[in-house]
Amino acid sequence: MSKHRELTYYSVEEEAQPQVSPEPFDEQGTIEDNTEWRTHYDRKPRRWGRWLLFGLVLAVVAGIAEIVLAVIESWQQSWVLGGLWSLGFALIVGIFSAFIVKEFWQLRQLKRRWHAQSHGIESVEQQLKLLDHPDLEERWAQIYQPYWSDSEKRERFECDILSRVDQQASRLVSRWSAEAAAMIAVSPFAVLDMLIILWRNQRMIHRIAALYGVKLGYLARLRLWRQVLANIAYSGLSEAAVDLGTQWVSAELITKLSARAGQGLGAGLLTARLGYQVISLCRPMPFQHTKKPGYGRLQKDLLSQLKGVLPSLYKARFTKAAKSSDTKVEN
Amino acid sequence: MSRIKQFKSQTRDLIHRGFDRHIKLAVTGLSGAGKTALITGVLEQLLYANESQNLPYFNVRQHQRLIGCRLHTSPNWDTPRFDYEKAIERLTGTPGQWPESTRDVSEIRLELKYHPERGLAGKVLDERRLTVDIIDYPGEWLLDLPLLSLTYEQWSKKQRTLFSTEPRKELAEAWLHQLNDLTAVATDDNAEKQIKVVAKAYRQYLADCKEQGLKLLQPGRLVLPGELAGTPSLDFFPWPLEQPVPDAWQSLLERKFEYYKEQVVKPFYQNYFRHFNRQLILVDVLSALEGGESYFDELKLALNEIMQSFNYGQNSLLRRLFSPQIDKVSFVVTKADSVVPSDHAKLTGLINALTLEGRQQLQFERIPFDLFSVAGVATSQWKQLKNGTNVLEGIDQSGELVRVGAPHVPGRLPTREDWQQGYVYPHFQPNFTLADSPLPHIRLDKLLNSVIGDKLR
Repeated sequence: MSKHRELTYYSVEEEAQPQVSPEPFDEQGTIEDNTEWRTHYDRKPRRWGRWLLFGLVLAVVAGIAEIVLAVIESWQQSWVLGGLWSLGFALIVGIFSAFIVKEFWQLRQLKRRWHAQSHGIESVEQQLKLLDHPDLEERWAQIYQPYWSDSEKRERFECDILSRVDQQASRLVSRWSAEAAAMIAVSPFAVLDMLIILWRNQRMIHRIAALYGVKLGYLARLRLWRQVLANIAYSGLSEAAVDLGTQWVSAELITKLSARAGQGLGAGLLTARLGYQVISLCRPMPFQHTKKPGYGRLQKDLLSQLKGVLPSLYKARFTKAAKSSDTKVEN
Repeated sequence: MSRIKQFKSQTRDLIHRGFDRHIKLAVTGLSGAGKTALITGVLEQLLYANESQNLPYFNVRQHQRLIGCRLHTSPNWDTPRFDYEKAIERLTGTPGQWPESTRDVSEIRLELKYHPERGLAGKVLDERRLTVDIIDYPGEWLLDLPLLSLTYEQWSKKQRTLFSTEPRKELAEAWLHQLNDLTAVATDDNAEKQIKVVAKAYRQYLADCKEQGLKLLQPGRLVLPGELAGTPSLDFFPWPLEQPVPDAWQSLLERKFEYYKEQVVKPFYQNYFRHFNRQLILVDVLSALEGGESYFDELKLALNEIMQSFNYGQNSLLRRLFSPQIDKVSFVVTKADSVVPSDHAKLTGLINALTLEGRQQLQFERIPFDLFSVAGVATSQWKQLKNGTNVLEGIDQSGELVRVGAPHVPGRLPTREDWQQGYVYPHFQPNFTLADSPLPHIRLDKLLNSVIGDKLR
């Protein structure tokens, strides 16, 4: 017969840490499968790419050899010249390599976030650190209960912490898209439209990513852009049809009334769409317990913004025209 | 004057019920399940909700829509008020003690005021009220409810199967002995007297069972008589033998049983239990595990039997007014502070398995239910030693600070082998001062949100 279970007692004197994170459950720790994951489109390796890379490496090696030879030669001519040359090259190489390391580091961070997002492996504490909001860390420390299970912690983190960041981000989106809409509405030619859109979106993406604690380097930004556009083009197509369908209809109606307002509205909606994509790509976990920020109030905001801009614009033009006609009369 | 006042308050209740602004919360649990501690914890958290940071799952508080909460006079003027202050006094005293076990019915009414956010009310009203009635009563009396649907014969038959199992068999020996002696000389003349003697032995047997930790003790008033102590209405017992009841006794026993049902159980049920529309079913799984297999099985039997004596269903307007039904149920494992947090999921798993049978009715009526592991007042702290051992720290019964290694909790219903090893859990005592208010709890916010949260939107 097996032994009876008994409670084991430990000495109270020994040092013990108050526990802050429960061990993960088997049953509840994993996230259900039905949540929607972002699909990330990975580039297929190209056959010619490898050869191209090889050629580039060869060229770079040759270039470095050339430079080294040139520097050695200049050393032989005079130590002052040689010293200057080597200092200059050392500086350039140093800065360049620092730049590259930083770029790769930032790209890696973004990729790691995507990985964590789709696999749900990072603990809440890690995610909190990544967010890089000291005020929210404090808030978390306030509400945190040691008896929470992993899934409860995730839920609380999403509802109490992440939702605040989401709120800020979606406010950013609606503000920037409203601005874009207004600018497009008043911009005189199409080329300028495109430039404005590019510039505004670029800035918006940067700001949103910073909110979620993602620092974007050049490479990371490129990668994010590509992902955003790919998501919009492929996976987001059906979503877009539902989301935008009704809004386009009313946009069309507005176009009938004022072509410029319609243009502006369209540009604003696209910007918003882009912004929401960026949010879901930069977020450390997918939307589970909170609602995805949506277009609900966006269109209204956009329209009121446009209403604010357009009449004054027209008024300004009219008064200008009136003024000029007045001056003509006077003349 | 007071009559008019009472009439007014009753009309107001009726209106509230019509508008679905009135929750009558049934805190159902056998004796020792922790009803009083849980009710105290719930009151404590609600009353101090706005000062507390510990209710993140209670949405109305988390969204800062709760204006306040206060205790209100009970509508039933002949029922004593639940002694919340006394319970707190015991918990925060030196040495801290658990609230006394409940010996009589008591009731308390809470009024919550909040800003509505949804529906028409959210647009029109700035504030709204919700009334919550909570009733505390001895858990022993709960087991009288299943008697209502039984005849004396049926009840005796049910009890007979119980008597044949250990440890009841041994405990019942003295009583059965006496019964056998007296049946041999049963006569019409002294039937009343003889029955009284046997009933006394039966009450003794029930008291012994209770001491042993057995749960399925019927009739409840024989265990805890309340105001009926010493009256002849309690002089009866189930017939335990295969041979028929002696003619001299039969009619008297049956009459007494019927009287008990009609005059004792029914008024209790009518007065307190009929109007419930939300239910918490508290289960002390840990004590049952400690007790062993027969106790565990008995708990299961008792739970499923109790669940059959409640009405479950959706409430329409008319139903709400005249015969409300329970439209939401939460199964709660109490005393979750006796195990480490990572084992809480196992506790809910166990209660899930325990109440499987009783829940079929809920599923059929499409009643939503949730499972929680909860501590109304959390008395232990979870810590980790340097070598990674999980321990619980708290005050034990002798008043000393102890540190206990994480006790074993079965992840599924225990097998025969598991039962041979047995289970044992620490019993911590409360150790608080008044400055600790609101007292710590485990997962009460989630429970509150599930029980009353949907009426606070």
